[in-house]
Amino acid sequence: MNDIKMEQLVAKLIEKTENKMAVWDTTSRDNEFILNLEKSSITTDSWIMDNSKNCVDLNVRNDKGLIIYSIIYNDIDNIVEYDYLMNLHSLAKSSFYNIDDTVNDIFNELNSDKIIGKKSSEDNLPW
Amino acid sequence: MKRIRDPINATIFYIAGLLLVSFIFYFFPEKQKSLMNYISYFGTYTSIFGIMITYTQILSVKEISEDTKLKVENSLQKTFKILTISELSKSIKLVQEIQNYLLNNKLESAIIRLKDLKNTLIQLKHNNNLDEYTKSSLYSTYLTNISINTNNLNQHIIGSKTGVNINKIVSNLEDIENHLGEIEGHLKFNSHE
Repeated sequence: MNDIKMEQLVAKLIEKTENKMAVWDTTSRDNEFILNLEKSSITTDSWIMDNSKNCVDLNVRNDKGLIIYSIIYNDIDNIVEYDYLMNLHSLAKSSFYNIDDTVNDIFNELNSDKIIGKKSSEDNLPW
Repeated sequence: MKRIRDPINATIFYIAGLLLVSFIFYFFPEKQKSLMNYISYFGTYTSIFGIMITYTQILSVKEISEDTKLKVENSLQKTFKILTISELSKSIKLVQEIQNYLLNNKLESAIIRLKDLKNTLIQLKHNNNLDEYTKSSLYSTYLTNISINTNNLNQHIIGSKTGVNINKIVSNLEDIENHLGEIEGHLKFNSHE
């Protein structure tokens, strides 16, 4: 896969995720997100390398889980590419944790005139 | 045709035919009732009978050959099935072993076993009898999860990436164990043979 195709792939993933048309899941690393497709999967991860560089990667895996294409950028050497890929990672994270909808719901409740908040359970004890 | 293959039946048929030839010969004109003619008719009848016996023997050999082929194929399938079940049982034990290593923080051993498990799952994927279970996207997801988990454990050990969720790996393995158990159950109890 060449860089142009990879760029197109990332652009398409961003578009799908923004439109809530991509279902991301987490892997065994809490900050790594996976998109399982029919015969392949895509993962994106972000981490801090050597306590200095922020890194983000994107791996394309085949149906046997083997990495067939991989890109990795950091915020010192490849700042533009890093930001672009980090945008996808943030969208994937937001999609998995449902961050936007949750925050919107909070604001809707806070902006309403209703009393907000509720007790966790009623005291049903007889005394 | 099968009756004539029995030696007793063949003898009875032969004698009956011989009597029929003799009976027909009895009604022949007096001029033709010579010993040489009788021997000639008897010989013709015996030849025809011999050809019939040979033909039935050829059919019999063909049937035996087809039957043997079928039995060999069945036997091979059964052996193959036993091997597959054995492989599945081994994989399930492997999953439990990996979970044990992970819970005891023996990550290096877990990585070695995860690789073994992945190889076994890839081999099972090439078993045509298990297409129903191994050609699904879910099965590919299991393989991908094993690869990712192995990778994450490796990176955790060498320190390039930290923060592996062991519970998530154990949970992924639990899913694989359930799936393998399902395949094993199918092979053991849903056979049409």
